[in-house]
Amino acid sequence: MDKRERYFWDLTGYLILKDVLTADEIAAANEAIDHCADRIYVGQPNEGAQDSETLRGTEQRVLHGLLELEEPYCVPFRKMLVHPQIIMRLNVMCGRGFRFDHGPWVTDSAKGTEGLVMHGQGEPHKPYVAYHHQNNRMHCGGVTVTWQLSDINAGEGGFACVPGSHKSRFPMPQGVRTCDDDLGVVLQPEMKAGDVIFFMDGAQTHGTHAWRAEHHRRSVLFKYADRTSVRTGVAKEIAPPEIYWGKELVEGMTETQRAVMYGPCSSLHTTKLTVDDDGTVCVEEG
Amino acid sequence: MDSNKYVMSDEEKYFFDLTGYLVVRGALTPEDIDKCNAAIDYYAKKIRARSVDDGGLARGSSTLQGQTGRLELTGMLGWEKPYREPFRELLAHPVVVSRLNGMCGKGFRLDHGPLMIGATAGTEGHQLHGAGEPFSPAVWYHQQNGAIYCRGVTVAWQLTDVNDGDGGFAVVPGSHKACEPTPEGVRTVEDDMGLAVQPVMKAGDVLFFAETATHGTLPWKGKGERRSILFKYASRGVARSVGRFFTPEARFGEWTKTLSPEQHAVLYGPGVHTGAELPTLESDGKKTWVAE
Repeated sequence: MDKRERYFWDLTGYLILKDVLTADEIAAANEAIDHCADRIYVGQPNEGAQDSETLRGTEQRVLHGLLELEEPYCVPFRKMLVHPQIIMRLNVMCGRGFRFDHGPWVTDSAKGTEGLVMHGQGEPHKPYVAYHHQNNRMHCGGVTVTWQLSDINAGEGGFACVPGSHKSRFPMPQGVRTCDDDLGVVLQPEMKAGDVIFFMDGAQTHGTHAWRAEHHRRSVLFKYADRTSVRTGVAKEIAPPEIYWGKELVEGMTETQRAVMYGPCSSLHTTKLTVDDDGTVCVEEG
Repeated sequence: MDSNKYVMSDEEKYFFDLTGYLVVRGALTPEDIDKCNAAIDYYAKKIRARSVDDGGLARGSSTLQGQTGRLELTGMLGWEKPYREPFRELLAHPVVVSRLNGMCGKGFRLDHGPLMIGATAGTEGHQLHGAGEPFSPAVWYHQQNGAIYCRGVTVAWQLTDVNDGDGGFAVVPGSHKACEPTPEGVRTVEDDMGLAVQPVMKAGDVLFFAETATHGTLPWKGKGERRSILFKYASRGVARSVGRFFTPEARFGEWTKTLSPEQHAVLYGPGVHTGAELPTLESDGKKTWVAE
């Protein structure tokens, strides 16, 4: 990762590498997805667009479990997992010992597919994905690596982000979140099949524009984390105290004691405690 | 310091942000302390003394060396009734919850512990460790727009008094924000530049410290026994201890056995207390390999 890339990444919060996959590798990945077309999950209408007018469209289509597909269909995705071009950059972005946190999945968007509201930002600070730079070393808690299996031209939609937002110290305006009034700060980068984009997941404001092109958009997302940050996926499944520590240790604990025994996972919302003025500790609702 | 026991005051936030530690006085009643001490006495046979061979925790420091090793006891949360109960009370004690909500953010979790650290006269110290530089994501301290985000906080309950000059816990105030490396003399306390502080505490007080802060232990010189119970907390999305689901097989399933060594390496679970060497990856842009 040379000085030019380091500068761009630190400044904007994303980075695109051109032509990382060969035509054969792109074809193999697309063939695997075609083979599994009947396993594609179709979401609910406007699940991602939420309250946005700009991002509305038809349901998202997603295929999960790519590393576990039967051979040879898993092979292209397992290669992506530790592709040399990825590893050398993640060692700089996340630090050595970075790990795969969750994913990969492929989004397979037909014309008219809805977008996803902008999310992630520098304020409020999110410790498990935040970006930090100190003494010429950079550190990002969460980085998403997205492989493009089809072209994305200007104005077609797909991945969009707010460059520099990983360093913002003010809350994101509502119009930027929905893209209904984005202040001109939201960028949709152009990419070709075989390109790969890195972006700071959660630290940087990012999302998806509705897909407008005739051809399908196919992007494969891998979610990496630094050695100690934990987000979701398997972490969520093993987080309950009885699983994470074992039934014997937590047997007989009160609800509030149990709440601090959950395993690490940033996407849990049932473990927050509050204290009343008289010292009563309660588990916060929802 | 102005304090409602169940609220983290602005003064406490200021002190913690400035120094990297905080002592809340009188958090336990004499009865609470007695119950904890009685439970420890009941399990006294399980207390183990660390070896001082090969430099011990003093790591060869002439200032920190002692005649005996640190006393340790673990497993309190899983002890039989009623001995576990006093320690389970400490786990989500209102004084702790109110402060950790302010230090780590709501949803904080127990990462590892509790561990009793004990000492008698002559017990060695522990070389100072932790610092703002080099940056350590596992225990990162950050403050932004009035909110504190500390990824690792240790809560140490005092079951006996720690008087001035007794030894025990020591810290370099402000070091959680240091951006220059810690001098060797500070680590060993052989030439600490007057920076290391040993807080005075009474039985029933509770100490919070940012794991990022440079901290350690001075040799114990007190007349009585030192007993401190340490709970290691982390913010919600952070792991230091690797837990039971560390290997790719334990975490994702048996299918990971079919992966290449490089693919397998990147699927290890989170945490820095990895014990055996964690496989890490290298790449020259053309190929990826597991580092030696």
